[in-house]
Amino acid sequence: MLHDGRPVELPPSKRTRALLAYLVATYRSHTRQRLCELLWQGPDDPRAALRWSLWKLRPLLDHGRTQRLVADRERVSFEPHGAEIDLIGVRALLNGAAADADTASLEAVERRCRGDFIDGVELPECYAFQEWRAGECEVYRSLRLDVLGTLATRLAPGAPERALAFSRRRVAIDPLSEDAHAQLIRLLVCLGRHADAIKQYDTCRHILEVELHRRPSAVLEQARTIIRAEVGVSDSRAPMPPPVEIQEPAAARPLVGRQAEQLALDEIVAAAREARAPEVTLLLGDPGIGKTRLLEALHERVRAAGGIALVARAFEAERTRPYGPFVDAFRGIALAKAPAGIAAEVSRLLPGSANGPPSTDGAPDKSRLFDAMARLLDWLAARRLVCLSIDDLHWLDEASVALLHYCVRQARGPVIFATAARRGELGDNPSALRLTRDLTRGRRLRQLAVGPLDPEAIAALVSDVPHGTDVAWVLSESEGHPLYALELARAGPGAGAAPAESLDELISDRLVRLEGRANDVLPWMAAMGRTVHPRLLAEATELPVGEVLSALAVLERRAVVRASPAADDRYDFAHDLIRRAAYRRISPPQRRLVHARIATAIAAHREGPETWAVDVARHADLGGDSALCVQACLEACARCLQVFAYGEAERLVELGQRHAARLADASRIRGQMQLYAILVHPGLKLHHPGPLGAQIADLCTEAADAGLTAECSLGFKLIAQLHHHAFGDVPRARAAIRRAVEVFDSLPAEPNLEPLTDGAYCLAYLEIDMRRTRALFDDLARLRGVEGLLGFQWGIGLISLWEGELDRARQALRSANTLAMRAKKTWAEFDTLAAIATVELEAREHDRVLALSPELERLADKLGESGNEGPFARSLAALARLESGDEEGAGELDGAIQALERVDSRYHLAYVLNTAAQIAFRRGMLAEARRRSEAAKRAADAVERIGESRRAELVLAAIEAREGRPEPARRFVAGARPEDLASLPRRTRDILPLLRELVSGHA
Amino acid sequence: MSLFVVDERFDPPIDAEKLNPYSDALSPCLKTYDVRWVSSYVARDGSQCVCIYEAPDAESVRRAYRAAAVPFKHMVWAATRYTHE
Repeated sequence: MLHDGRPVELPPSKRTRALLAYLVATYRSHTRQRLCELLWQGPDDPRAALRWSLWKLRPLLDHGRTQRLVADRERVSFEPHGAEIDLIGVRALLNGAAADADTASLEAVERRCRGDFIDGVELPECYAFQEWRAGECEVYRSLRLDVLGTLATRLAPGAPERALAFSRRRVAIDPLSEDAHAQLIRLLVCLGRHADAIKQYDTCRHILEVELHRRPSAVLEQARTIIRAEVGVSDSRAPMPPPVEIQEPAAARPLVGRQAEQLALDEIVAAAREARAPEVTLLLGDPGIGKTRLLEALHERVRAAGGIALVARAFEAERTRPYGPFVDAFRGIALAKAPAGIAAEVSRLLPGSANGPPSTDGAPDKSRLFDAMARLLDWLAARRLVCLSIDDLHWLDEASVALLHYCVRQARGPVIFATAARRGELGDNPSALRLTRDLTRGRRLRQLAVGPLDPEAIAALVSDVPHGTDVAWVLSESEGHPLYALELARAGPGAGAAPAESLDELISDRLVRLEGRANDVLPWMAAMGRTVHPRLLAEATELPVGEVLSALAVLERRAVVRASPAADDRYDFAHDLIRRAAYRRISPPQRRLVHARIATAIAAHREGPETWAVDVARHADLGGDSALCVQACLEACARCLQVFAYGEAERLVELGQRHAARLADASRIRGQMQLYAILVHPGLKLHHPGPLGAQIADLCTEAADAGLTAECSLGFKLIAQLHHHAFGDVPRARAAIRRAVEVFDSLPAEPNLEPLTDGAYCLAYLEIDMRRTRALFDDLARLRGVEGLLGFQWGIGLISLWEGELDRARQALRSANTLAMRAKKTWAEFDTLAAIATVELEAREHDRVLALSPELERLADKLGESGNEGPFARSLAALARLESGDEEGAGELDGAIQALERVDSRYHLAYVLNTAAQIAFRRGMLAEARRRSEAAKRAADAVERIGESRRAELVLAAIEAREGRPEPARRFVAGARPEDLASLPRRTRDILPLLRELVSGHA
Repeated sequence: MSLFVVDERFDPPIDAEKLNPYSDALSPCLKTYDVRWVSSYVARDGSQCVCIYEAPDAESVRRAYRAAAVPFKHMVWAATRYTHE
């Protein structure tokens, strides 16, 4: 980004850069919600993170009165206002296919295309953003290839030298394209550079063989024929000079300079040996400044003091690999002698550390695992000094951050906790940022800012780079940056004359000079994204292990890779910036191939039993192998749940769902349902239980259509479980839904919805948390065949009655009544009919209530004298009579109420007494109304019928107001919050207007 | 919570050794309706059984029985417990 021709420094936070890129590239307005979902999904406060990023961007984009970043409470957009945007410029210049544009426009487009689309702004954990980014990359990449191809073709006849430059760029971007190679070969032949042409042919054949296991096609062979035809014509130019061989010592470079930091390290070791309260050392600095070398110096000191260094680093690509760095740090540490309890518990995380399985005493939980890890550290520290060192804290996964925090809080013995992080990128990892803030507050964080090296140290650093280095030039250009200095020195003696390039360019240039197997192995190693075992590399590349080892030896000599300090048998890049440069050299189609092959190799090999699935999922995602990705996500999720890494599990489910959607029907349904099952795990926080229930219900229907009965049954069970969790605070509701879950557990695979609808009906009958019960019924309503189930219609009827939706209630209850009759369930037949009578009573259709009475009496008789049925039927009839002005109803009501008391049906008593109290109130019989209301409240409270209990309270308040004491009514009116009212039945809510009227009358 | 007594009759008689054959079906429903089983007395000939429960009201006990589709002959009645202490 440039302002007035000068580069503008962008905020170091990758998410902030990503936000800028997204707003500019999409060139339209977005809701804040959408942006949060894209870039800040997770448990933190995404809206606050978005605000922070916008605040950081605003000064870079807005100048004077020109406001380019337009944001209100809901939406955010970028408006150029005169700013020149390369993407927009390119679109304007092309305006269609490259073939239709004039050559000048094409050259202008090519000048504007500088590297890949938003290069370096990868956010592996933000899948939606990555997806968008990958799509855009592909669009602009193919556009650029099109432009380069067209330019090379058009310029070939008149200006072959210029055409050659474009053709070379095309090959560099798409090395797997035989067309591109053939075009380049023809141009070289045309320029008389036959040796280079032959070399290009060989290069292409080699790439095809290694990457695609393919022989050259007709296109390439034709190009070769042209070379042959031209052989004999003298080669006017010499081939490229051979690359300079750099031989560097394989051992770690000695630490130069850094006197103050070295003193600090000595002090840290001394403090730990005196067993002072452990603190965390955080080395902060720019990439390549030497943080890792300082960490290594600390490890050397710890080992020299007889201690043990547990060393690991976090990887950008592995943010969903829970506890990955801990697994790496403890790999190879003999835990056989650790106390059995500890070893058994940590074996969850570090397989192979115990002979027996983890303890089954009590439910497993995260705190026990964390406690065991902390005790393990203490146990180690009781014997010798221990240093737990995690590099690149800014990439540390959420689970590891939590575990690290716990270990720091619990550690008592001589333990050194050491970490390093890039200054600007720590803000992109909310959990790591929170950790450092908490530690700072607790005075347990020692920050060491790692700055530039002094000139003497730089001179010492580059002194052993094995060819004549212009030290003065390196000193002035590197400005004390050690990696930059080394790369400048490695660039060779001639570099002194050239203007200094960026660090990235220097590294890229060095990689370009690699040849043979080293060059073949490099992209694979870069794509792996972490430390690599040569055997896995051999399996992925399908090269013999011996060849891979000699390639690695070459790369090690050239300071591109090194043996990993954390694990002897593995290799890592000498610096992450080199990994990035090596990865950037791989073209997108090649990347897909490489990742897909790596995924298959890891899946076959299962290297690292504890983490292989996460690696497979990531590579299969990047390689576009959706079936493998879904399978790996499921396995990885199982592992995450086992070690309580719930945040990581959620992200893997999201990734898995994205790929499952691409599979063919049966596999898709199977994959999606299993992934939903992970989301419904009790450990995971349900972020969107509403939509989730609906999605599972829809998938159930699809599963039924596809004849996938096991998936269908699993779906029903998941819906039950989902609501079981949702009713977390109401024991009776949990019991009702639990019943459904248990029944599903014991059922064979054949789908049967009845347990679920019966459980749901119970909730509606008990009037427990009716809003959630309504949500459950909404989910059930999506399932095919549910309309024919008694429990469903009955429940819908009761909920609708509660909500005051009387037409809907009547209709559903009639269906339920018919179903009960068909099933010959007399008590259900009575209950549904009595519910219909209640609907009519509330609809003030008194004649209809009375018309139902004989049938209700008949069914009550059939059920026997012991139940509530007879008295309840008589109560309803008596209430209808009274309401219609028939005074005989009064005596009948008294008798029916006494009978209900005798059979002890407080559930029905609460309703009947409340209704009777309201009738008495309307007739001005306040003493009777009070007596009935008080009895109703007692009955409702005994059976926890909250809606009826509140109804009694409101009627009592109305009586008080009518008697000249408006205070209780006033309190109700003043305290009636909408959310409280929503938890009450309509018949109770309907009393409030009366109370308001009474209160205002008193006022 | 009050005590409630349920009278169950079995025709044909049940195996008295196995106690109440319906308990598996009944127990989850009891929980749903907030009913706690206290004790049962099964006739040696297996023809009848008396069960004692704690519940908010008699209706909850009846409801649980009906939801579990367990037959009960006579009314559920509220009871007071007397012992020689």
